[in-house]
Amino acid sequence: MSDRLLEVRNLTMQFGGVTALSEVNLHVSKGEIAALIGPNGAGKTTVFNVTTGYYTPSSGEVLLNNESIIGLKPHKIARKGLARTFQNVRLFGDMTTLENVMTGADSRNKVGLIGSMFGTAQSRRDEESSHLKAAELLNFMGISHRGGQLARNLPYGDQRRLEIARALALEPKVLLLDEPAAGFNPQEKVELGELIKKLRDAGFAVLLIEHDMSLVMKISDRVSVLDFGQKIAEGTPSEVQNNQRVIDAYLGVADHAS
Amino acid sequence: MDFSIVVSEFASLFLDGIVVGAIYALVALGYTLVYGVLRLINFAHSEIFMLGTFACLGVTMLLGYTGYEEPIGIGLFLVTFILITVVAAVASGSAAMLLEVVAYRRLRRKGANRLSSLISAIGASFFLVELFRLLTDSKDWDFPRLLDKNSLFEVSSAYVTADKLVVLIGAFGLMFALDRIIQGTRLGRGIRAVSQDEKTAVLMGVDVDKVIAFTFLIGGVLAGVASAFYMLFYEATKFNVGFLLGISAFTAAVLGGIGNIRGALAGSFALGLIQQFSSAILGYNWRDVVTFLILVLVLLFKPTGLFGEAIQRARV
Repeated sequence: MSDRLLEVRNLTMQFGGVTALSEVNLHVSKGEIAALIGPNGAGKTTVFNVTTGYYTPSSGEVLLNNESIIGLKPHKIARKGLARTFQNVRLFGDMTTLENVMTGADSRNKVGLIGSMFGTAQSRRDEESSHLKAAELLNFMGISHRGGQLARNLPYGDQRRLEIARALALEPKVLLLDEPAAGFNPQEKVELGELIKKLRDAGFAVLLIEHDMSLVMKISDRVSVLDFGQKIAEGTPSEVQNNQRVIDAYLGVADHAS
Repeated sequence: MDFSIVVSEFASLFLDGIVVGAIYALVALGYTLVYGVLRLINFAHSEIFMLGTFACLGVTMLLGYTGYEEPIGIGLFLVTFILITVVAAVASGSAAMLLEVVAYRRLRRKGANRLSSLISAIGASFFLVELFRLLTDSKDWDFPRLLDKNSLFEVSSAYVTADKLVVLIGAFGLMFALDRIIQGTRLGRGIRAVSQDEKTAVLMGVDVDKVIAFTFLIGGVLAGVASAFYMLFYEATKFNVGFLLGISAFTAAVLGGIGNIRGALAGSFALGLIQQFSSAILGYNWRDVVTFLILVLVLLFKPTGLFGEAIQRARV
């Protein structure tokens, strides 16, 4: 057994005749922050969508905790320990902040959907444990004062924090963060970096898509670079920064012959 | 037109409007809940109600009521009526779940557009109506009078009778229970999460197929209970009983804002009152004209209803 909590092997994804991902290999281990970078349209979000089960890949393997998850329904994959946030915040806007997090926490409970209707002792215990866990996570993210507000009324930064809290409520092993720093000011980016490092130290495997290079280079243990659906480089932040193919891809050099 | 009746009979019309509205509300909730999770008008929902009325009738037949008995005592009535209600709720609830599997689930899995599902809904509705036309000989079926309907007490011009009290207490109790489920349980959060953003709900571990199935179950159970109240109040049914009642409940849901639960309740009571008062003024024959007029006017001028989202989104 490897300690790779998430591993993507030879992943190819075609939409009609368009190849969005070609033979991509990635992995994230326990207690590691891996970053996935690349120009717009390189296929980064497609990696997330395949990994979470939203798309079935044309070929290749996705292993979560050394177990193939290809063909599993997305909600099963989520319950097996994969949680994500979104590039454009996607909260349940008409639910309160607390309820958003409880929705994530619910899938860890014993009582099923139908059982929850009947107010049995177990269902009340579950309801309480979802409530407690959600309150703790809001506290951890520093937004417990927002608990009773509707998610859509939260300021933008708190909405992003809420998304992370909701993802953590699933008790995931692997956390996929899709541009978590988008729209943050420099101070907020520093705080976010600290938070992500804290999550890593708590034992999560973090896979990060991010455009803010200073943040990526500061916190990542390993960086993978996608361009036109192919992985063109991988290594420590400093290795990747000095890689000629990466520099070409970002500067938009037409000739890839190097 | 006689407007003086509105004044002289105000309390009576008001009471009946609330009673009728309570029955509409239980049916309207089924439309609005299913619309919430699927963005689909379940046009076969009225037939789920119709099926419930015949389940009620079936129970009284099995118990040996012929319709010529003296009304039974309150204790025996309650036991009998609870049995009738439970059977109707089970029949309608399971029929609604079956309907989802047969008429909608495969289309949804294949990613068919909502128009296909809408056509499937109308097809399922026709199927059930015609099936029950055959099974029931196209006849009017009378429901035995179980309860003494003499007035218990009067409030102004309103005669408060036991059946109206049963409907009101039962319906309000059920609405309260539903509110508790939607606001304070895992299933309720699942239903709301799927209604607001299905794809995200899935990624938060919500089993959408189950949430949808149980939404149909809840809608069906409410329609089943509504059918028992309807039979107690109107004491007759027919294979096409669902059509006008369904249109009224649907209008109420649209009036309140489709997809909005509290809106469905408000719309139902509003429509019940409007129907009673307009019938008193214009004559009973105008009741359905008024209903359809409201439906058209809401769709034209206030498609979001009082609280909800535009019904037009359902057409995508």
